[in-house]
Amino acid sequence: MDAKTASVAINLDGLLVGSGSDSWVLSTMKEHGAALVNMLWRILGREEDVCDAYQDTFLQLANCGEKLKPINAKAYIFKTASNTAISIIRRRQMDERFKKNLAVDIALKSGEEVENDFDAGQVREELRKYMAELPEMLRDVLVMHDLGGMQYEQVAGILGLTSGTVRVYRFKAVQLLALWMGKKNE
Amino acid sequence: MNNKISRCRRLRERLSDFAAKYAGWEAKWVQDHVAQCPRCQKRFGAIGKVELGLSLLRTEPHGLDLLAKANTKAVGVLKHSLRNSVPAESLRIARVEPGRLEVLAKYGRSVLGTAACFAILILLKVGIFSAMDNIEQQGEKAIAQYYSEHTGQDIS
Repeated sequence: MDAKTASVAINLDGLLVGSGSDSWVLSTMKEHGAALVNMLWRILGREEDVCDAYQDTFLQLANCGEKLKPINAKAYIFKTASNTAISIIRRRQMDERFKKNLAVDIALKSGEEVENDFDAGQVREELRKYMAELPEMLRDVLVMHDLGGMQYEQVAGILGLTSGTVRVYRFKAVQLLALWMGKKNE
Repeated sequence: MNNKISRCRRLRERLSDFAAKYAGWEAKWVQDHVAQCPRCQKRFGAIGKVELGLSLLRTEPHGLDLLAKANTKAVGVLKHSLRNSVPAESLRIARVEPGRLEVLAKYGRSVLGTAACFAILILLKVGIFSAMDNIEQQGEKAIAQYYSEHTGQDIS
């Protein structure tokens, strides 16, 4: 390790979390990590984004410390991961909007036609984009049930709702998405 | 109290069954209406597209080492003692374990083939033997009838 790398490592170590016994963070990671990665993958669809959101989630969990450890760690990490993923999608959308505008400008200047093919990848990206715009409660229900693979009862337990309400919220979320996607295609 | 709750649940189940039967997608009048109404067709089409998109998201596969990558990155920001612990080491090489159904899926085709062969054999065996029995019985009846008729004529 050269002097420069060593100093970076020392600076990073200053930011490293954890005091006392934080082994519960690792056990939570072991227990729910696979399901969380699956959910993040479905929301984000990019490996580097999944790793970032996963890291942020466990960093926040570790920051709670032993004393402020959440009662329901699963609920905490899924909710945190979902919020982090949505923030990443929003940031990504801003970048893409900028790039798209740039591409359209260039295409218009060079007289080329802008392609607008319909494919599965496009539907997925569209859905991800609109999901980020859903009201928080509807989005949480849709993400946890449809992308996190949780039962209605589990989602209800995490969000503190009844399973009937969760079903209604899920239907409302689908209706809204259908409306927005329909409008876009008109 | 429990009795009251179970009665309430039963009633709710009946109500939802009733609603599904007479006002759900399965109901004939709903299907007839949708077949003729362009607005409803559009709405159902849009909802179908969302459901399709969600299933596309669910079925999109990720790399087998994604869990290991994510764990490595997350463990990397924890404190030194945790980073170097045995559980952390196992997390760094963790892979997504396929479910039992997915594991069995690769044997699915051969199991299905064998089951189909057995089914065909059983059907053949049962079918052939019962057909043979039928033919034998019918033949015996025909011969008995023929002889009874002819012997009757000879005697008469």
